[in-house]
Amino acid sequence: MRKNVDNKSAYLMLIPTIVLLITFVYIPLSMALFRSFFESTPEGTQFLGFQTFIQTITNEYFMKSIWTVLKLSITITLTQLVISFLFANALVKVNKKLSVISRTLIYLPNLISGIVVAVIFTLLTTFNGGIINSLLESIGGSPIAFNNDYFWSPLSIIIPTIWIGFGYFSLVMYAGIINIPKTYFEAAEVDGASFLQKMFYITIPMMKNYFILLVVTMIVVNLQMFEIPMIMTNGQPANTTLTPVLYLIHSRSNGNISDTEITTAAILIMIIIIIINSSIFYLFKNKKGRKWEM
Amino acid sequence: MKKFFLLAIVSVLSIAFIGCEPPSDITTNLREEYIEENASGVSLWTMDFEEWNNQINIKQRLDFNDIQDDGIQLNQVLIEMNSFEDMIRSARETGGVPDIYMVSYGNVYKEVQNGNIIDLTSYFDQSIWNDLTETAKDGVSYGDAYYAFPILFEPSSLLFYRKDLLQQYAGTDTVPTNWSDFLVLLDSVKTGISDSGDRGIYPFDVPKGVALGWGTWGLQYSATGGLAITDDWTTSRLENSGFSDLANLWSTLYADGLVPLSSGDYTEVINDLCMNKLVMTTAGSWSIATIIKEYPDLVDKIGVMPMPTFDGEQNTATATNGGWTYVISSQCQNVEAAVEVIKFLVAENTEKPLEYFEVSNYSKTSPRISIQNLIESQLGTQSTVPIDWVETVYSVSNNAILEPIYSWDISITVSSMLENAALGNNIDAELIAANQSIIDIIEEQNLANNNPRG
Repeated sequence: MRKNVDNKSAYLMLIPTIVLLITFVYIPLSMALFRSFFESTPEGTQFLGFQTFIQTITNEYFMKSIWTVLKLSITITLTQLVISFLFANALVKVNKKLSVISRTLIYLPNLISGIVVAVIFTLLTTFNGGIINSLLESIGGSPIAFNNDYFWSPLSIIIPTIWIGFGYFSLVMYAGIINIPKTYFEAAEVDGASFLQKMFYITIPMMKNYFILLVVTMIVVNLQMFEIPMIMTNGQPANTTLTPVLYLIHSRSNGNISDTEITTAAILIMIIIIIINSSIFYLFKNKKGRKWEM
Repeated sequence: MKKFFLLAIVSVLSIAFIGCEPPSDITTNLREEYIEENASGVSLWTMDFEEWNNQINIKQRLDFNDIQDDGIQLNQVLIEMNSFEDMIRSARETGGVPDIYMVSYGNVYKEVQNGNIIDLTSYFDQSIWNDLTETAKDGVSYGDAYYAFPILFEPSSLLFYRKDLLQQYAGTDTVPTNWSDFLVLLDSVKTGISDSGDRGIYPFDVPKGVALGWGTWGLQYSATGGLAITDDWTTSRLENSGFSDLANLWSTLYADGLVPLSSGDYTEVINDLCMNKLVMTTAGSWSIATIIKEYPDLVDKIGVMPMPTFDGEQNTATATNGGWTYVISSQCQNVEAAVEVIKFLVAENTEKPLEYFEVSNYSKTSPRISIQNLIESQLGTQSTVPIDWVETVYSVSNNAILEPIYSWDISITVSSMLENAALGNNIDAELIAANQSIIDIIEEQNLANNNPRG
């Protein structure tokens, strides 16, 4: 009897979420999917089948932008994971006051919007008159074209993106580390385990689910990135830093791209995200009763 | 309890701040608006441009509404540029699309194709259509029908130069009209800058990044006699030697340090010229308004001319004509009233367009021959803009081609080729690769013989 009451309460509490999801996610998504198979012409609506999907997949620039964003996402996510993990480990070791101050300070960039972060980094990296180039010139160096150079352009997207997410990553890692029972470490120390052994045999395995959370979040966010690339490089040089969303924005504002093509491209990006995230869940699946220990 | 109150205060303040966002409808303190009772409402959505532009648009709406007993009340809404298309689309879906809205020349066909706008041909006298320049007619018509009424043109590329800086660094203020002599001048300016010890100033600048895609359409035309694909969209034109000349020019400009390796937005590059960061630059005609309004002290020190060409001929297309048109929605319930509004603002009336172009400091050109003639006859008596600037803008605009409406992929293939050439890659290899890419795009996107303007 008690169980039935609990179930009813649970369903009742789920209703608003389900209604909102259906209204604002699933219905628009179904409409978009439906529309991607049709095209409006002066004669009326024409059924295209998978034609637009094939056209989008064979589009050199769209596919190139997908590879670009994948490379950027992998670099950003892996770098972010490593440095945040190391930083979170350091936070656990330092005294409490310093830890609190550090956590507050590193979380601040996360509160700033991507556009503001990009503007800050633009001030630093502008070719003619930027802070870094002015410093370089003052010591006799040549200015660097951070947003128009094959080597520097990806970095001028990667660094601000890591900077903006570093605080969030570190705090999640920190929360994960302090949740590991101390007795594990004490037992390892009794057995004479080194710092690296404790990290590889206790900390990292216990943090697995946190890693999954962060990787999945970052993949979803980074595959759709456009604010920072748009302001920092806008796809330069020669479209080597063009992300899919940026490509769609440029195509729409500068040339002819139909609504059907935009919708199809957006659906393809979503499918890629779903495939990648499913792969991550599959690769990291928990062998202990297949339950996530979050 | 304290925490609860604190949270409540923060929530209320947050909601209040969100609510403080200005409404999209225009309120103005110009003068009180005449509201005609029982009049038919005509809705007009215009883009949120520069302040001066918005103000003249609002004033002309008030002027229209001042006409008493015409039975029409014009309701204008100002929409932020980047969300304009989304707002129109949403409004269309929900049945609230405005009667009249702005569409760029490049997007008129898309609106026609989607059945979003009506054929305007029969609503205006033939004399009104005859008053349009040939380029304007091409920009708003498909087949035998006119679907939009042109408001203005903005040539995309003009050469702006600082006479004082040229004199200072190169001992001359005369700018050659052909690229080879122009490069000699740039070298001379670069030497002058180097000898002076000045830093952070470059001889010249060209469109970069996205702007390289559309900002060089005019240059492509002057170098090759056409654009990247043939007019019937059947094949690539990159084997034309003019594209090789253009790529070599780009390579020289970058390799010799004559242009900054990167720069800001093309639409704002004029600021670098006015702030002594550039001696010369390519910029759109809209930059004239920026100079007049923000750097009036520099007007006498700046010259404006058409872009150099490879053969030195200036009486040819060196730019594209971008700009805006008014269209009437296919959902409009009172087309006759909407047509009256367009007639008043741009089509029939001469006073209102003249007023607009004067306020714009002639940084935009009229697509109406009669207005062009009136401006020509009145110049020198009223304008704060140097006459030679206005003459240059009209000369470039009248020679300019329309912005192409082929796939943006073709434009970025050319811009990537130029960027790669600029960054030191092998030009021949880049041209071959770009040529093949364009052939592939034509095939994949089924472009051949599908140019609506063809």
